Amino acid sequence: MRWINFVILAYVMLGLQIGLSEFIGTGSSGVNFVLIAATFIAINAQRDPALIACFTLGLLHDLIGVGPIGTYALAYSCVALLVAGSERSLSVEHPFTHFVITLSGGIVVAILASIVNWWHDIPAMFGSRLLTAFYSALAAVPVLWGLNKMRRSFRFRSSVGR
Amino acid sequence: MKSNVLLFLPVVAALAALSLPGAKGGVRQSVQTLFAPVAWPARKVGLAIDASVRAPKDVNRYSTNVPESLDEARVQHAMLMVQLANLTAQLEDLRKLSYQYQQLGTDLRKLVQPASITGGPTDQRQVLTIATAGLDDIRERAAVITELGLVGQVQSVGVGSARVLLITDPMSRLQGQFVRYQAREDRSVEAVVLDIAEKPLVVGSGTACIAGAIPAVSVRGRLKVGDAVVLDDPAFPIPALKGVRIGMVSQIDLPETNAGFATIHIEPSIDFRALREVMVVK
Repeated sequence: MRWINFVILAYVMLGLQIGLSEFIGTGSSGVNFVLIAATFIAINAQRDPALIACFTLGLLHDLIGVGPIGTYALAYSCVALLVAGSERSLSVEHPFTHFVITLSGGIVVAILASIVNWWHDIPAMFGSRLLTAFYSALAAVPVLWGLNKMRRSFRFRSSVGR
Repeated sequence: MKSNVLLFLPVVAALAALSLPGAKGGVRQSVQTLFAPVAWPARKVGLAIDASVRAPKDVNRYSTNVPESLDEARVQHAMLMVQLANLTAQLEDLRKLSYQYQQLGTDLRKLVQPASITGGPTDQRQVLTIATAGLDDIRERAAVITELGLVGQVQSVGVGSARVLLITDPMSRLQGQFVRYQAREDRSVEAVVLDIAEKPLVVGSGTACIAGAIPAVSVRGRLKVGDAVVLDDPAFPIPALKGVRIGMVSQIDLPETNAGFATIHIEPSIDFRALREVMVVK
């Protein structure tokens, strides 16, 4: 994987998360752009670079958010392990794949974040996190379509799930 | 082998998540500032779209339904009278501010500085992030206001931005005073301080404020929904802001007997999510 492209992707997605998160969605639920970036990396990259990249994305997301540090790092790492570590038969370019994998990733994030919040005696807000997963999955379809157009520049592994 | 070594990353993350608290305000602001070249234009676009979507809702908020009965019409009339009195009082405040501004000349510009908002409140923390680049000497505990009332106080100052603790945050505690706006014969409005023994301690409750532990006997029959709460806190760092509006009484929970305490729900005068710019008072 070409890491400079990953840095640019992470910068843009974290910037969008800071700038747009309060406008897209309802109440405390909204689109999680960082989750979409993590899904893109997990779908396309090999397991080790995907794990490092998703961990980094999560750590940065923790630093811009209000939750305990490590929550998103743990959640995105698990997404990377689950998605990048599996042998896939689905097409990585199909919008339905993007929707399902982002939704699944969002549910993993919701469960882990709720557990961590429960541990720290913070309101878990599991319902709004599930709604965030759904919004993110919807947004992932156009965003990942656009990112897939630039997929070659990332120099992921040669042929996965095509 | 390499894969197994990398598995320590989620383990480290899990240990950190269970043992570390959230990022401190200053750290979070500094990290957020790093992403400003993307976040700032994205937020501008979001604000523009949000404003165009929100506009019809704001218009509808002030429209009233056609009353179906005489009682409903009376209630609606009473509510409109309260709204009118509050709006007239706000207008009076603005006129006074304008007059004071003219008297003070340009010096007021040094005391009150406009600041743009770069981050809004969430359900978890009622804080605003404001851009402080170009502002002079922003300090912690500086008051943040708008023309409609008190917003909060600067909690921490970072690189290029500062965090403002809103009056609705559970950590916010301010002493206030109950007042009622009454129309004079010359159509101007005066604020009458209500005769309530205890000054309310206004504490944030997440989306609004609550004043508790006020003896029910001193509230019953004296305080009404629609009365205003203004700042009257000797410990507030800027005494000149005494009388700035905090919010309006939206609900009064009274016990059955006079022996207990009343809980007063206070709706802030400002919709903090819709704020675009605030004034920082040194």
